[in-house]
Amino acid sequence: MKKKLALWVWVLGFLSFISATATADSELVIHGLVSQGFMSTSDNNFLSKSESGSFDFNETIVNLQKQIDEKLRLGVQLMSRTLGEEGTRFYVDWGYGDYRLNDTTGIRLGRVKVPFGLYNKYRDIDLLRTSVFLPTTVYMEDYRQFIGSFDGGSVYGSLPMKKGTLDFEFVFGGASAEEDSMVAKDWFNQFSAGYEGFLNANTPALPAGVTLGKAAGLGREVDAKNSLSAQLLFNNLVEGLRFGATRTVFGVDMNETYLYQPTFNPVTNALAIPGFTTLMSSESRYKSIDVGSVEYTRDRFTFAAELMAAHGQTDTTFNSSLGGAPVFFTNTHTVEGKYAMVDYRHSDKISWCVYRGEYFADRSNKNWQNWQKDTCLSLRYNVSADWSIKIENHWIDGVGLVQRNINHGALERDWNLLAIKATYNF
Amino acid sequence: MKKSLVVFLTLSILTVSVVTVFAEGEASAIVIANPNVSQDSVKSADLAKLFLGKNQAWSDGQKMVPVTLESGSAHDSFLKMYLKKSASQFSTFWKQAIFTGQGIPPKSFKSEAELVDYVKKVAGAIGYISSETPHEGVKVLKVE
Repeated sequence: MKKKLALWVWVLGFLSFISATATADSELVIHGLVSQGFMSTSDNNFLSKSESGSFDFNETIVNLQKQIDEKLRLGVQLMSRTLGEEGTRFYVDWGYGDYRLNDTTGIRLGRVKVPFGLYNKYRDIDLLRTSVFLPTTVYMEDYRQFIGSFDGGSVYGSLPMKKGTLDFEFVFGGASAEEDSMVAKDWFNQFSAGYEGFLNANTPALPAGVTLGKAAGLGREVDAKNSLSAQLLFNNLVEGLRFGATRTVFGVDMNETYLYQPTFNPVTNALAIPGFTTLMSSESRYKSIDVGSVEYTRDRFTFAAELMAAHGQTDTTFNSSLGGAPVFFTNTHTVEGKYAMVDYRHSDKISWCVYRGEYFADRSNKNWQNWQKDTCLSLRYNVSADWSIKIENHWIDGVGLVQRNINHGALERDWNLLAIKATYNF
Repeated sequence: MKKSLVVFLTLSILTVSVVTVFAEGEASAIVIANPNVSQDSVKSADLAKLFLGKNQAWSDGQKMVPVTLESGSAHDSFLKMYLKKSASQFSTFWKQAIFTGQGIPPKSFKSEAELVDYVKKVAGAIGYISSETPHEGVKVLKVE
């Protein structure tokens, strides 16, 4: 709550400053977009209750920018996003002051987009690509909030070379994570599931048939640790070619207090112990999320491929009000993802794209519960310069990216995702 | 699985079938600047940098102020000739810059007369129009 209040105070201050510095030759430039999507899956809920078809898939963006003088530019992008079970979130996508030190280098301070791979900076702006979804095998929804933008700053630039340029960007700060996001909820659920298994197996006072379960969450906090993202991209060594690498390091502390209560055996109706609370403290640290990227554009074709590997460790401690030694779990894993994509612009009106991606939630444990292999075919039609309509189908093997907290039955290995989206921009 | 594939293919075919691609004619564009600009010519490569967001200055140190047309044959011709982009690609380039906070596009005008009027009045301004459009009071630059 405090974080949200501070954020909106900052936004209002920022907007006041922009309007206060209005001069005749530096106009406030306003742009925006509105999109509405629909998704439907043959099996498995994905991001939303998609098995029954979901329209909870839309974005509204308002973008305000102003060139204060030759070197300083201020801007903010306000966003409302509805995505399935996450509901509707209002947030600042980015907002910063951009100061050009010279022709090749600049600095930004504020909430800055993270340069993760080729397309992370505009993953929310679907009008900039053919497909509805970027390949989720690299641009994972689970990480969206943690690597979307950092509150801090960046140094960026473009150094001329004999042929082309070397573009660089270093972003530092903390992830703009929120307690009530779908990702946070999913992570909390995953962490506590192991503890509940431990409790039920190791609490001697439990009579036969009585189990312990979470009765309520009594408070939740997500605090981002200092994080860093660095990107180097070679542009136009050969005309139309860009390639490079990104390394992102981030950490997050997640704390939640639960009330646990016994579930009664309906036959004996026995109660052996009273309810109790447990504080879960979890520290997730990604020492590196590396992405290698290459894109080649020639005439109407664009070819792109990216490979991602994330090395993570999560340490979780549970302290119960019943006393006793804390329960500790640790988990290390390497997430791997990749895709290859071909995009063809048939005309200014029509484009299509096809991609194949593979994702492994844990490289050392490859099975369909942990992987997701996605083949996607997308078609985009620009009704006008301001309107676009897209339709795409995904043929998917595995459920490695499916959120468990919105799927309560058995998951299906082979499933389809159909996505349609209309976007208007101004 | 089969059902969603059929829906997808049907909708795709319907979408494609309503599309008509129009071939558009192109007229040549001339580059104009504010009359106080001392240069008589400008390099093609500098035009590309300027209209794609890189700050550029005239030889006397004055800041170049680029302005564009929103559409039309002179717009298409200028973009194709000097920026090697279609109007759609140019628009996408700037939308990308806008929505990622990397820049603000040049001021744009609906009509060539409005653009000429702006270039006439604003120091350092540079733009383009079709050669047939009246352009008294502005300087026509040669592109090298």
